[in-house]
Amino acid sequence: MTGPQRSPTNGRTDETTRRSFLTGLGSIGILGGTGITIGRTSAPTDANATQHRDEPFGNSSELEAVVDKVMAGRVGATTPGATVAVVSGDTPVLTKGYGVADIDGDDSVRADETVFRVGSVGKLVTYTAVMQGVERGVLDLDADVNTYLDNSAVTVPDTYDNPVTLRHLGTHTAGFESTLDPDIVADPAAIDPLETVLANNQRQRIRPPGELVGYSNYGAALAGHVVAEAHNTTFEEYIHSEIFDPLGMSNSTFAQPTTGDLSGDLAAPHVRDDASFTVADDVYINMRPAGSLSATATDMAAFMSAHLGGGAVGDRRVLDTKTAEAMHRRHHVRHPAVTNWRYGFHEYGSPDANLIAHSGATVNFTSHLLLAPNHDVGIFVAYNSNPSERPKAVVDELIEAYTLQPAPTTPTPTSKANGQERAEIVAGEYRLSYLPQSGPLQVANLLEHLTVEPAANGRLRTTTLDGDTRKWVETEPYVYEEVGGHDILAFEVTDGEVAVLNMNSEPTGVYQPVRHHRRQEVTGGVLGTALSGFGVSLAGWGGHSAWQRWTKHGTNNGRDMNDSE
Amino acid sequence: MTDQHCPRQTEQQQNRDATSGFVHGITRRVTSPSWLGRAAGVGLCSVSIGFVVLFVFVLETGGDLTLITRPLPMQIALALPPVIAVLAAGTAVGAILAWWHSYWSLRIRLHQTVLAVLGVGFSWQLATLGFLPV
Repeated sequence: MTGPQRSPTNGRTDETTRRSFLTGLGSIGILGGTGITIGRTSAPTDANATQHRDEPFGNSSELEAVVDKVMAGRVGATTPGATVAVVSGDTPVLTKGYGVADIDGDDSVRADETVFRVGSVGKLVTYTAVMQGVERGVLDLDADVNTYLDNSAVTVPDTYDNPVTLRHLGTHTAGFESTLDPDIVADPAAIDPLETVLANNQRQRIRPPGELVGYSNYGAALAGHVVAEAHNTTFEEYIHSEIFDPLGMSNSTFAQPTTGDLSGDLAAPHVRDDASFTVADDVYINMRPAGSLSATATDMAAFMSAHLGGGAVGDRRVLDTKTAEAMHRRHHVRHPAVTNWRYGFHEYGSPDANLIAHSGATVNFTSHLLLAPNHDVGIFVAYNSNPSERPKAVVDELIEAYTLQPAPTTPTPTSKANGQERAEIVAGEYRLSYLPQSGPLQVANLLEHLTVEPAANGRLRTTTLDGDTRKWVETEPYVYEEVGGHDILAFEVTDGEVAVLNMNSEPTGVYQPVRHHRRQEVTGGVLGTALSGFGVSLAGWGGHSAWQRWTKHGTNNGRDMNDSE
Repeated sequence: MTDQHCPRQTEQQQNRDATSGFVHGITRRVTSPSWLGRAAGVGLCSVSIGFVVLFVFVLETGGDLTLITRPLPMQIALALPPVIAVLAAGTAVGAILAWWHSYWSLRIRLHQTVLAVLGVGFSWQLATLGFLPV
């Protein structure tokens, strides 16, 4: 279950209501100047991995007061319950539950006991396990994943010359077609072995590997399967013995259902029912490494501390320091001006802030995990509901409260000439790479198209179908900064045509130009005209039929009257 | 006895006549290309609007995730596009036959043709949006 969500680049909390269709679906489970070449998944670099550290929290009481204030307006209104963990290095400064775990039972959320389903945040555990394999020498980030699948029914087709590697899987650049669905089932009896799930849900390869980001639950699940195959065990058993047990994460599991595995209680999923919430049926995720993790905030605090602490919390180590550093370095560069991919983590917010994160959700849970290595800070927030305003809004407020990223500045227009010409070149309609390109979920793709229009003085205006309009100033050729925010658009233009549009707040994919017959105005025009014609026809037939009956009735009445006379 | 049997026989005869008439009417219609062509047009309009209404209703009441979780109403909605495509084809065939054999009035022939064009366009976009296997 993935939760591709926008990063906090504009500092506007009302942004959380935008793109509701995408976030709803997304919940299932998310060089070098201009004319940039693509094909940029590469060995780790040191970019943005500077280790300047300071500790922003005065004391835990002060932090608790800030978090209480941030959560006060949300608990009971946005979500019935929430759990929060904030760590500073290896110290959990705050772990606290808010609201109720189950609205029917009125059980309060307890950070150390109430287990939340964290969805795609669990991918970070999966990719940590991959890095353990790399550290042991049983896995290689650049080897063909098929080399680890000799004894498995799962295989990656050789559609392209270059094979799919674990580096591609950890940066979502394998080029698998997206269906968003991590094989959700309502009945736990329908949970199949991971190998069976992956073999039965083989994804097509629609792009050469390493070129473009396209968030893939299948890819994450495949990475988990590779870990299991390389260690001759099951994914769940491996994670328990090599990550959860060493870190003391006793209330964490990828198993579904969780009953019997944990000492804590699983929070109930909730849906909004007018002004209140009701408990919903839970669902299960067959692609477990992609999103079936359930954990407490206390356990997630330990996980965050391990990553901030170079792979260890005190004497409990899951990664060597060098391996942890390698995981936190860049492994795929979409564009140097925007957020890029570390291993499993994506960069978040300002490209200069060195924030790394991942969001997550199941159908009725949502979560967000953020690390600020420069400040030695980790923040985790989870809800037992899936509202339009998701936990990242809380994280964004804490980022702002503790200045974990620089404040937005007024963009300075580029001094390069021909800005208007460039604005005309990049104008058009764009679709997101991680949204499905087959099946009915293409509706999501259509609704999420981004329209780019030239404005005066080389500026741009972007709009979406749900009415989000933003203005942009060109700060470098083909790089535009948002007016009134600090989101960034970076176009890759080849031979006068846009190949890719990278948006800073969309690290989980890239925008690609849409062909004319797939544009919103074409689809809307054809469907609207057809439905109007059908409606008018039905109304005409109905009216004609009624008229005939009425005139026949009138004739009969006249005849009856004549007869009676 | 004769007097007693006559009304019953007449009633049975009437029932038989009615049944026979109904069957004959149905048979005459389903073997009539013109009737089938027009029925396809009516069906195209009804099912298309029904599909859009049901699809939007399920999304609005059940949320966007119903596209993935596929409750029964969404399964029903997603079963309709192939029906729409068949009805659009039937409408188009009906329009061609109408011009070929001069069925109906000119006004109805034009209307059938417009419906056929709209049906083909609607089906094209359903295919573009992934509602139809291509």
